[in-house]
Amino acid sequence: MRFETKSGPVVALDDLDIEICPGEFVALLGPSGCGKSTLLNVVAGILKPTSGTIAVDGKPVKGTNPDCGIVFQNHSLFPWMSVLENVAFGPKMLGRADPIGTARTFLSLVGLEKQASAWPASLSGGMQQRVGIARALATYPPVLLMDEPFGALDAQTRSIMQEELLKIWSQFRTTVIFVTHDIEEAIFLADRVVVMKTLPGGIKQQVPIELPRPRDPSMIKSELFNRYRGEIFELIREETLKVFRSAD
Amino acid sequence: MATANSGAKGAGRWGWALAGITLFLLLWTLASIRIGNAVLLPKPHSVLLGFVELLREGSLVGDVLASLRRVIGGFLIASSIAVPLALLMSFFRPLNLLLSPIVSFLRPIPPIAWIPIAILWFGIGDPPSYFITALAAFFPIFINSFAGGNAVRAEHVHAARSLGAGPRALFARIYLPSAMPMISTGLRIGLGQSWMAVVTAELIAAQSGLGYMIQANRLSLETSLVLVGMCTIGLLGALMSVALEALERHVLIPWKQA
Repeated sequence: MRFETKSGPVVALDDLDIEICPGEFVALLGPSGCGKSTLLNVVAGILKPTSGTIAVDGKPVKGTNPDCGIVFQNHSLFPWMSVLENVAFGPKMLGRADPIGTARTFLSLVGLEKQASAWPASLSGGMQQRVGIARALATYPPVLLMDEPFGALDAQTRSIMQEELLKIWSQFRTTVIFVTHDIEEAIFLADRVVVMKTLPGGIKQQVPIELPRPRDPSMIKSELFNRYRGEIFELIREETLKVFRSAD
Repeated sequence: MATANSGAKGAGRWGWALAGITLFLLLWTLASIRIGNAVLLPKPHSVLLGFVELLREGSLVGDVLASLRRVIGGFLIASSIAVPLALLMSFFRPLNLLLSPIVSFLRPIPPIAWIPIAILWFGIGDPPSYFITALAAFFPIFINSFAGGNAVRAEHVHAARSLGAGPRALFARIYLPSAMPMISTGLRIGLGQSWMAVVTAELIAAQSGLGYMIQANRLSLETSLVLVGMCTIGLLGALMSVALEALERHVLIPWKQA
């Protein structure tokens, strides 16, 4: 997959054959520079590759569109709209019936119905991300793209948000593509961890995660979890070293 | 001063403001006693008497209204051209490339330098004054709105698109509010500039308004009435700025106050 940039074409992602099944939770994991966010932006239609194709539900992606809900790392709520208006925005734009009612339903799903009339800036980082998730889900997108959504949160909030996300996902079973550089986060959340490689970027290895669902934080201490962690750690270490040495 | 209670803090602020005003009046009185010439610097109380006199006689209200009308008219003309033009320029690069040299060239010319040509074009009275007040307000509004048009965040645009927003919704609900804090700053500065310019315009190109009133009283050596005019300008300018701040807080950018 190639991209035109100001300094000429760049091969950001090589060998990138990946199929994601409906309802699957896939984590893209890798060191920075491996193109995991690039891949997500291509699926979202934010970036347009000059070669290669990507399709959602068999339809080629042409520009940003409501087939893919997006949750960004942070600061993507519209600060000039109340929390409720943010969540109602999608349903309203798509001409759905009762956008406000839908927004209220999704806000209570993420436990923020009391903050409905607040401005986003008055909420904590964790609350803002919950609103971001509610907003992305409120249009019932077939695919939910999450770009390091908990990356800016502290460790405690982060682990609670992971559990919350799984709880919400278990109700919707929408397809999730989740970008992260946190190994434990990827294993804990996903059905399949896709380890990305660098120079050029692409897929190094896919690791199916066979931990039972519903997942529970205590599983992080289990033997199986440890085995995944060890395996994935080694894969990523190779890639990170490659970047590290190429800098000399 | 580090009081925990915000009510006490507010009271403290008023206290300091009052002390500042008192100090100013005190220095003024001392200076006028020292100078000892009411034509050069009358005492504050004779200015107050002049103020009451002009109010009773009714001419002050007429002058204030004439000046206010010119400022608000010019300000509205300037905003209705500057804001859309600046936003269009920030969205369409060719338009920006085409017009920015003209803007850079016209911007450094102070409104006062336009007065002679304004008189040639429009004569004496309201039209040249509207022209000058609009011109004075135009550039601050334009420059800030242009910066505002470029202030939109990519994440907001991507998010809005992925939520189904079309071009019109994108403009009205994403670009415009993103630009609003800067537009609002431009409006505040523009109104101030316009208010300063109206006095200049009326000193030369009008036969009513506060600027004209100041000029007329200077010619008859009524210094205390000159000062009445000046103080009225200061007071009204401060009031307008407070009013615009309230408009910002409640209408234009309420989310910025959280």
